[in-house]
Amino acid sequence: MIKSKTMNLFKALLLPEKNAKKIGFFRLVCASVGGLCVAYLGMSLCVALLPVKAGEAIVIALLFNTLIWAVCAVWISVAPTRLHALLRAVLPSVVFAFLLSFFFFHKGS
Amino acid sequence: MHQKKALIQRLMGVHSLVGVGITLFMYVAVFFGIFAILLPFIQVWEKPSRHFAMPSNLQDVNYGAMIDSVLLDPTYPQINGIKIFLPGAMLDPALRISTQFVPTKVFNPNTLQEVQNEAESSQLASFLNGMHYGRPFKLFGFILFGLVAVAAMFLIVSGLWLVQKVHYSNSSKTLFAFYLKGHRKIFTWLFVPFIIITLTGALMNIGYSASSPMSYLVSKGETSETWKLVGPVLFPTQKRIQKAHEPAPMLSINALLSQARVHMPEVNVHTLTLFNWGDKSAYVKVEGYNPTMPFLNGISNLPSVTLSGVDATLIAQHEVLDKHWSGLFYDAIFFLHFLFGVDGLTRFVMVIIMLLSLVALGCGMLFYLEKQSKSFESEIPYHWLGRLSLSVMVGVIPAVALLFFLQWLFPFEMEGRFFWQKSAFSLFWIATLTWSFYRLESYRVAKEFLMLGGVLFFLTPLVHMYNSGFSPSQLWNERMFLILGVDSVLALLGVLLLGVARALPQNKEAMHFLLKRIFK
Repeated sequence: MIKSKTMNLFKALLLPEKNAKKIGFFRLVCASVGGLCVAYLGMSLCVALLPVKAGEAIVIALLFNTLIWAVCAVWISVAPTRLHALLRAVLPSVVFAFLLSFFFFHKGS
Repeated sequence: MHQKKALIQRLMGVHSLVGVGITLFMYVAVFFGIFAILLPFIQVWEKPSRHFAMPSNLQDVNYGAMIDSVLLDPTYPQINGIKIFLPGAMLDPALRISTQFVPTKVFNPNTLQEVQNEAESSQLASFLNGMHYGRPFKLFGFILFGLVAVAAMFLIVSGLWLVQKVHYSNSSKTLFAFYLKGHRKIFTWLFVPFIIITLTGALMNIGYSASSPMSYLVSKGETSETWKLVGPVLFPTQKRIQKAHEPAPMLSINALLSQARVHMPEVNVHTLTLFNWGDKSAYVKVEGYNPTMPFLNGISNLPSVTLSGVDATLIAQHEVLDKHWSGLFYDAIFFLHFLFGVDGLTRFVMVIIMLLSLVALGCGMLFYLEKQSKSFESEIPYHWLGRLSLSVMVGVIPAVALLFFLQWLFPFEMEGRFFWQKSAFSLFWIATLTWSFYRLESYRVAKEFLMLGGVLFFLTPLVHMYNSGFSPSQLWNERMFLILGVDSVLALLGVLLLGVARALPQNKEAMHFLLKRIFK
């Protein structure tokens, strides 16, 4: 019962909207919140991985964070279907968060 | 093929949705940003205490006479550094002395006498600057304007993508095609400065306040205070020299300044900071701006020398390229936004760019509204968004004109002077909204707003002349060119607005005809 309901939801999200010009609430939330997560986690990862001290790179990362947010939001909001939009928001965030947590709990320098 | 079409349609949809949502805020930010670019000029013009000429030779001014009179006062707090802004810093002709806990002292370097600083009662320039980034609404305003900056970058990215994907025809058959053309053409030319400015604006309004999680993550949980990570890199602390408690005679400020010029001849010195003054361990930090290296210094990076107050020996020197690379990058990006230390011409060019951006923003909104008006039912005479835009975009002109007009109309001794001034401004701006809903013909409303703004801007220099007691010839003869310049620009602006109000057509058809004639 629950399974079929979720399947129906997925199917609904997989169908492209009839009027592509109308941007729904779902896409907007994915774009704004998801875009922020992708950009923020991505930039944090950049600072963590760059071979310079955190204090040297963090200002530049914070500066470009907003631009990357905007770029990600455009990219997410024009996804072919709503499910794609959701995946574009969630997948990179999860990957970045996973890599970051690996870095965060990694002992030693 | 179908996919590509759907992509373009989605891009258009999201661009217009976000665009309509934030254009009015963006317009307010850019409109007041123009006054922020002109802040140094307005700051001098608005204050009676600054109505004197800039000393013709800054090296010959007897700085010691002014500064010593303050330092000799035993009640003046001297524990922390005493900051001295030389005449010419931000185009201010006065010398300013300030330290923590006491009001700033202001001197006229021509007469060496102290003048009465207006402080709280004259805040025109700083208010206009605050409106640029939402300061009157405190935290809410900062966050709102920060998000608007992010949304503006969203619009730039999606707009550029659209321009690259879609082959636009430059038709001028309809009025909205004209507006679309204007919006597209101007922003494809101006997006580069615009993106840098929104980027830095977003960082200042929301970037820093949202930085603690990132600091926590990248420092592996050590700290969530970004400043602890950034401070040592961007601003390595200079070691403070302890006071020796042995009184010693000091060199004169002029001698120290000329010694500082020997060490850094290409730097325009604007600030001195005195430490332990009158003691054997006294030293002074001389800071300035190096105009031969624009984009690399001026904001967080100030070239400086630190000299001993007793014998002017060099204690430390900081040159432009001594800064850490991330600091240089920071200054390069922020330079276009802050315009510290740049000359009048660069400011003028930025004003032109921003005026064009205002036109482009207006065109974008008008394009949307014209498109909407096609689907109107005949019994609805107007669209609420159109009237709101009319009030925000055109109504702001007479409202700001009123702000300028009241600056010299109210007496400077008036109680709560600035409160009344900004309240009148806000009330007037809201009243324009009422008026634009009351009148049916929006073109007529625009004409009236422009006319009123023109009259108020034109009257402002007259009120200034009458109440300050300086006629144009006096201003010219006493070499207060900056103040005379502001007066003439205000009068010209008034005439220009009156001209535009006269030339503006009465209705849509006439507007289309006029645009066709101009841009054919």
